[in-house]
Amino acid sequence: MIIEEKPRQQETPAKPAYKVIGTRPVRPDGVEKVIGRAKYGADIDLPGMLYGKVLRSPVAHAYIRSIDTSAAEKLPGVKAVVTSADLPRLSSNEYIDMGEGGGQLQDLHDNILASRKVLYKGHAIASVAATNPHIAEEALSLIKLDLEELPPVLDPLEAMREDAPLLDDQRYTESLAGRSSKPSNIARHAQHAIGDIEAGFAQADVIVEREYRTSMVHQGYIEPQNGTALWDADDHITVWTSTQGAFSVRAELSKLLLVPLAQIRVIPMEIGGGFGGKIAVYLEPVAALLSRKAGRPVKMTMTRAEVLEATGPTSGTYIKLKMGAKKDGRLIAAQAYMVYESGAYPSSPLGAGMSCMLGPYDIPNVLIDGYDVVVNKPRTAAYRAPGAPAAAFAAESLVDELAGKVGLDPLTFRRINASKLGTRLANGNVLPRVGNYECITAAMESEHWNAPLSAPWRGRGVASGVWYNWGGLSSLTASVNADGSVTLTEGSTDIGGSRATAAMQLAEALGIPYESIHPFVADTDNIGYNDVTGGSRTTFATGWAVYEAAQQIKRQLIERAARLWECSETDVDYTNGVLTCKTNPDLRLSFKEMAEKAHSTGGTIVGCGNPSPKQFGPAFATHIVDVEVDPETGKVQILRYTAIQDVGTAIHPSYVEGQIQGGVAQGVGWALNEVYDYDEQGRLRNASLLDYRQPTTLDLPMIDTILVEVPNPTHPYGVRGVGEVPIVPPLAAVANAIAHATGQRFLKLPLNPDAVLRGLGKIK
Amino acid sequence: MVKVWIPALLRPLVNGQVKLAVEGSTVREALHNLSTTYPNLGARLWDGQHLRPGLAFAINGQIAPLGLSQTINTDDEVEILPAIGGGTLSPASHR
Amino acid sequence: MSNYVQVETTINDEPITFLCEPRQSLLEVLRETLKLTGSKEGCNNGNCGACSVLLDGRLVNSCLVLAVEVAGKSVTTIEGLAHGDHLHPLQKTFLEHAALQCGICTPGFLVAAKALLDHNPHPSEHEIRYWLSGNLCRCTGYDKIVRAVQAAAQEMEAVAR
Ligand code: FES
Ligand code: FES
Repeated sequence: MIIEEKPRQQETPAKPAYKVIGTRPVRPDGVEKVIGRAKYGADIDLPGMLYGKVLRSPVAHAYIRSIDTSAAEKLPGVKAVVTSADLPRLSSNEYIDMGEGGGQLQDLHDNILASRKVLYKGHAIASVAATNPHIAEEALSLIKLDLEELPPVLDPLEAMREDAPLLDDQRYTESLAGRSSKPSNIARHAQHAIGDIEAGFAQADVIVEREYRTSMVHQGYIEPQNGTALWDADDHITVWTSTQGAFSVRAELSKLLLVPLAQIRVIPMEIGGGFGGKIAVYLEPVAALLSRKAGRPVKMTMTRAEVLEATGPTSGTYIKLKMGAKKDGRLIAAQAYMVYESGAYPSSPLGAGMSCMLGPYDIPNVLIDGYDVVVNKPRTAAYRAPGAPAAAFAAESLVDELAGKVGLDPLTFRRINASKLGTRLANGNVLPRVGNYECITAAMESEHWNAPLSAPWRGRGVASGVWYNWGGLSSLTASVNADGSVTLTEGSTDIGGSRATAAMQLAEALGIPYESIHPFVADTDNIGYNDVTGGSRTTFATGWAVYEAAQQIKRQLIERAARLWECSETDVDYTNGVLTCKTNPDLRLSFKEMAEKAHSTGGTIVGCGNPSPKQFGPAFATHIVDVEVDPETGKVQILRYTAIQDVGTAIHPSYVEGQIQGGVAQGVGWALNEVYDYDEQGRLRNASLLDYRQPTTLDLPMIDTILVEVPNPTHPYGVRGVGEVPIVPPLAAVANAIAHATGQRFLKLPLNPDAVLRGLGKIK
Repeated sequence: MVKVWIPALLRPLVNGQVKLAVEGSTVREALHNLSTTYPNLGARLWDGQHLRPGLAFAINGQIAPLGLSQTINTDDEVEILPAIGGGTLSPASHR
Repeated sequence: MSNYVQVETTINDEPITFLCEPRQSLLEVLRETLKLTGSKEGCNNGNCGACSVLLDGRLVNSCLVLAVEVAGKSVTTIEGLAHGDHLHPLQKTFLEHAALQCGICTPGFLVAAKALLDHNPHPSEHEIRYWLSGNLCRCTGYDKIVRAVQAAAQEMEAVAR
């Protein structure tokens, strides 16, 4: 019999009586989007605009001997052709931090337009601007490429071997201990350690060791990358693009094109999905170079094949994991060997994968070695909870097996071992107040977990996950208008409703109606620096900024009222949008009335917020899924799905649910079908949406959500990021469900019909 | 004295020790003092006056947002960590 | 170079004449020539449904239709769903049910869902999922989209009664 201790210091404070937070208003940018008027990046239209297209490498690995663009330049309608020779030479090779992910400047430079070598099929080599896209495409076919093909390296474990062909003979393995003496495809070795691993396993009664693999997968946003640029004769550049971070685009362009920040204006258009994939630039610098040559604006958009072959998917992984537990179910030791493929340039989310893998557990002895390996595939980019889903696939599958071996149900096992306030993780961090325990408990108590499931070939799986979230920088201004409305100017691009959540937090803080707030996203010339929308930071950090701005506005309102009423400021109270004089109850002004008087009592009232939140609240989730496996066809159908998540405080519950449902859908796709299917030459066999096979309406049931609210103590409204953790548990939850349905453990994703039939021994 | 945890990959540079006590009122001072005692560690941590990239610090388990300039008190535990990118524990803050 | 063709058609109930090259898709002409950018391009090969329009009331992917083919026909795009500031019930329920996040798939879903409700005013959940399976959304997991369509069907029935 296991005696579970409830973690101490886990009381949840009573939820304040919010007026706006927790309601479900229509988003401010909604109408434009349902009538087709919202302008996304590809919708831009400028006088004299040209269309740019990119010539891409037909092979995965080659030296570039020469590029002859002369015939293309002569084609009528062609206005400019560029190659890497048109990119300025870099004077340094610093690390560029893009907020979510980053990379060495030289690598970004070579990824924009290849110089010496092409490192993956689809690698950009040259680009043409012409008066229409068809002419630009014709021109591409006139460019003569002389390539010296090299053998491609596609499997990360093979790439690690001493005798593997090198992608870059100047690449060495970096680690805390220094750099390797010989060049290698291993770009980085990292290690997390806590306790004594050998002593830990010596104490274990049950030990399980497995090897897991996942494929490279893509974010799958429906809007392809785009970028439009105008390079003026005075070296000012204007860029219109769909991006998660206008300021990140500006910084990347400044470093790549050697143009000062203030001479670059990035105008963020509406963005049709990003999930981490729209942070690094691809087309923008090329469009800028073409525009400089042509003297006209140049618009570029990618085809879907280009998106799949040449933007940043996330890493395929190999993870060998060994975990040990005591008879009573307590985890005592874990050791992992993790390999993340980076694609052509170091960029994998290895560190985050290492940190998140065992985050839901309190394990005293842990040793994790991680390797970041380059292969002849596109340079990886951030993808929702970067690095964590594949890591959780390994850990949560193995935990499921261990739970079975010690005779515990998987939720009880997880709860006994749940990490909590004060748990020291192997990456050195100590957890603040988190809702891991509460999520597992809510799962145990859920209707879904307690519902019977009994047909043959059906199974139920669970899995947990964590994403630590991020704070980052937000900057915004809130200007009070004379009619009592407030214009909220922010710089975080809105990728799924953050204008609404910012406006709601401002309305709450000022005690005024949500409808009075008019938020909009400004360009880089019109607002201070903001980090990217990523890392689940926007509602959290922009919420902080909104709160700060509201406090400034309140102070000004109080000052003005004190002046009007000739009383001291301490005698003025501002609550629920009303100013009152504590010494004279007859004196009262609503927010709106004070706003009307603003101009005559000292001028415009403006608040701004520029916080740099130091701590941020990790988000935990536990998912439950029922599946049915068709033993004849190998097809797996999701019958029922419930996602339980600690969301801190749900500002707009509909959008919180939507984030969770969207993350689940992506995770289910990753588990069941999505794959980067390369042939031996490194050509992607499935570079279309139909063949990449992301989930459709028919692949998913309704996705139930249970919002657990353990407020984040470091945020004025208790907000935790919610967007990323929902993609962490589904891979393992689905795999565990399939294991219970078939009696067969599957260690490699995706579990498409082919893989399932193979696993069941029905085909070879 | 503050305590500095040495990550496993750097322990060979400090005779295999896991935790070292050192004087210092900021992370920078503590690391400089350590580097004087263990020049091999110093060579790995510093490139002239600059910290080599890829390092981060946690103080009592929380990432130090000011990095090297973060002030520390007696009994604080400083941890040298590999910087982690990808939206978790932003690498920018500990460079 | 260009042998342009003159095409006479009706778009969103307005007679329109445009010039196009025979190789241009309806989607390209809508977006680049007529500046009706509400129809989106997600794949340009019929895989995603972001470019959905109605051609004589039938749901089609405008990226797979040649612009010259619409001569003499009637095209309805997302821009033709609302009447003035009077939103179509689907547009309203999509907003109320938070059925859009990034919104890039939304015009395609709305046009496709309108086609569904036009010919089947009482679809079951499965019929909705079946009908919309040619429209990809990567943000929502479809849950709220399906619910919004159900709600619109109910609302339209209530109005009809
Ligand atoms: S753009 Fe037409 S179906 Fe995707
Ligand atoms: S809302 Fe983004 S693709 Fe559907």
